[in-house]
Amino acid sequence: MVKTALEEFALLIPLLPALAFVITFFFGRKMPSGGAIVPILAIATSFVISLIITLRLLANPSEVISQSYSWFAVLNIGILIDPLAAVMLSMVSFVSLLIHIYAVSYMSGDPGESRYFAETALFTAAMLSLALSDNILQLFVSWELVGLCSYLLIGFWYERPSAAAAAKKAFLTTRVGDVMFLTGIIVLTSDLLKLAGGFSDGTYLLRFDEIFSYIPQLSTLQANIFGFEVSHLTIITLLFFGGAIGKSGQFPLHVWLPDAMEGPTTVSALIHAATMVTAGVYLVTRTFPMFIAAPDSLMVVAYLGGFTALFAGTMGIVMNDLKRVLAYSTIGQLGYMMLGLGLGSAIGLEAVGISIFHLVNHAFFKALLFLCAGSVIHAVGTQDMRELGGVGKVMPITAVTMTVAALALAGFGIPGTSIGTSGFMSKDPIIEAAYLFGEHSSNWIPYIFSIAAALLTSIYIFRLIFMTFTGEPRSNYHGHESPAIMTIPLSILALFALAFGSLTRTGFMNFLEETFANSFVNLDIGDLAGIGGNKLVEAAGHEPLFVLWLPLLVAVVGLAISFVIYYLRIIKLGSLASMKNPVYRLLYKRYYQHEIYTEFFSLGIVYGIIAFLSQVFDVIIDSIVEGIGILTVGVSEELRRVQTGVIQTYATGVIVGVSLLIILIKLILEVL
Amino acid sequence: MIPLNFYLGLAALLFSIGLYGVMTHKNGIRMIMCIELMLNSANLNLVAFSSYTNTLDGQVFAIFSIALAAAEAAVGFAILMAIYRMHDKINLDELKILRW
Amino acid sequence: MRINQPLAFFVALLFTAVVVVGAFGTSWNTVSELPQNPADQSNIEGIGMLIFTHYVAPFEVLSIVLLASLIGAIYMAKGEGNR
Repeated sequence: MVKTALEEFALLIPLLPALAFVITFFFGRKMPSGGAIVPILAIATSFVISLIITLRLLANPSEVISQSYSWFAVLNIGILIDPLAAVMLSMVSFVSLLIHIYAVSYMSGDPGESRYFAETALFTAAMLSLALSDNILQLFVSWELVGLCSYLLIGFWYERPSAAAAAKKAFLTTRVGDVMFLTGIIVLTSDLLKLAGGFSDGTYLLRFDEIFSYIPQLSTLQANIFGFEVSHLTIITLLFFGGAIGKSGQFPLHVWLPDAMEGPTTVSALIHAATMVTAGVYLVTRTFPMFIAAPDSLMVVAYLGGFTALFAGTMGIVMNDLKRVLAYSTIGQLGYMMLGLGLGSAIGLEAVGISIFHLVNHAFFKALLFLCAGSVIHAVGTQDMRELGGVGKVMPITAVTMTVAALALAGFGIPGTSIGTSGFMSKDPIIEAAYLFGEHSSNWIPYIFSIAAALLTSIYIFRLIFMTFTGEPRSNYHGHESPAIMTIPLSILALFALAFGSLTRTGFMNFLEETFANSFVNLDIGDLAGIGGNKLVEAAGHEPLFVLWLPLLVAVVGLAISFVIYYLRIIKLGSLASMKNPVYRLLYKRYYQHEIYTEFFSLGIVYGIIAFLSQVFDVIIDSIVEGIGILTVGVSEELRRVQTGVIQTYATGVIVGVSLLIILIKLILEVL
Repeated sequence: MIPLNFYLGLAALLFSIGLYGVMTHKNGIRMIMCIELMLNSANLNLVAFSSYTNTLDGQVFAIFSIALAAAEAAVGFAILMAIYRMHDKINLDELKILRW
Repeated sequence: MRINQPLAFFVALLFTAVVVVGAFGTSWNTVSELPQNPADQSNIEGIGMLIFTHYVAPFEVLSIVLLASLIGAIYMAKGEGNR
């Protein structure tokens, strides 16, 4: 009885926020504070349901909730709540709930308040439905809905040209990834149809268990691309990963994420830190059995993730905008998650555990960082760190919570014990896994990437802390501590950022590793890895001591560097941090991405080709269209003389017509 | 006995004369008279067929048609009188108020 | 544009030719002989019976049409006094 009741409630998780969207969108303007109470209540209910389901799954991880309804042909819509989805649902609804509460105060007085709450409710609904979809197509639909919401919310202040441009950029950039994702789905569908021998009733072709059961056959299909023999599975997974790159802001499709900070800070916290960008990671995790069975795919994931982490870090250390620094740190942390997944080629299913663990922890501390930044911006009115300074004196709670978040981001904790921030608890395993991978395959590049990125992360986040909260004010501002409705969510998130990791560490990972072995799917990851030619490490946890301590050491070094430069100000950067220094200029200009992407690629090549084509089409098509127009006008100019309006002419016409018709019919009948 | 075809030929001749009048005359009254001629040629057909098939329905219709012709003539001449009062002429091809 | 007389004549002639040829070229399904007795040739009674039995509804409608058109004609022809 309890079970069936729960299964019925599972449907409500995405449905309630969707309903809240409708209510708030149409009636929010008449309610106090833009109808914020409706989405808050809806998401709170969703959270409670998700939490109960998660706890139940925790007790019995193999009893997943799975409901499928036929949609059309061999496709279905359905709900799948396995450990992975349950964790995702709880995290999304929880973070979203806190941000909604925070936003009541942050957005108060904005003319578009009700629109804001409606759109964030829709976003939450889309994200929740993405997390619990049980087939790839439904996941794609939710994925697109998430993209739409991000467009709406980034361009929330659409009267600002920069916000409108940022929204457009985000939409178009993620579209590149989405097209790849869709292509992957199409390739997968056609392959599955071929393997399954056409349509047959009763099977849901694109449901995950069905897809996974075809993995061995899929991997035998080969395609020839530019002379290379490539497995279909590799093509499909790489196309999926292309979608993930776009959504999760990985290199080279990361350019939209820093610009997306044009939206309200709460939007940045909700979408571009905690939830939406994790959709890409979630996708890779969800299809992890395919990735591990595909040769080379996980290597691409690992390299790209590691590179992105490092790449984002180098840009993060020179940004002067509070939110932009956080944006680059988001890109970097997502890079870590991808790296963690990519290391699955060596550590197998454990990769899912550490990656999703980092995802959840990151959601807590990154949402916290953004909300703290929002608190500062709300109070002070500027987000340029060069104009801030000494904010800690007027906003003590914000300063403390933000420092906690910074510690979590940099990964402070004591190795070998369960004392440490949540960032430490999840980031360390990724770095250790990178070490294991290096030892295993003598390929140290991911490890070097991850250590260097950790150093940069520590430098830029403490640079942010010192520049914002300590020292003397560098401009005239009148700050004040934010109201309780804003500081309470901050405190809750700070608690989670501090303690969640150490409290749940082992249980969490074991729980997630149950994802692919339960009543829904039952896979042997080791076998699948064998298909992909990945040899898994047999025994883990024998890293030398320095490997355990190195990440912490690096973080401390980063802290020390920032302390010396930005707090004590002993070392004057002066000429080093000026536009005369080519390295600084390269970083500050963000590797000339704008010039490359927008001016060279978009405006130069794409726009140039389209402009040329449109010229050609103008000439061809216009001459056809205009020719038809001229012909019609000319003919009718002559024909209108027939329309005299004199009835005698018409009568003559009718009679002549009837006579000729009769003669014609007679002639035809004679001939026949 | 006169064959049916001769009645039909007469009716066709009458109709064509009426048609010629309608096509060539400008005067409204003459046109109405020509239309009456065409109408009556149709009546002639009705009666001829009625007689030659030994049924009375055609003749009944001819009577109805004559009554309708009376109504039509009454309305037509009334309109022509109204036009004459407005324009002092009844040349129909010079009336352009409803044209274009 | 008025139709000039030769053209109208030609059209009328064409129509006559078509109808006459059509009429003479068709074998009509008729009775072989008309009633020879002059007394039988009076069919006024039969027409009257038909009008008031089978065709009574069209007859009534026709009377209303006639009445309406006559009233309309009188109204229009009466002239200035009504304007």
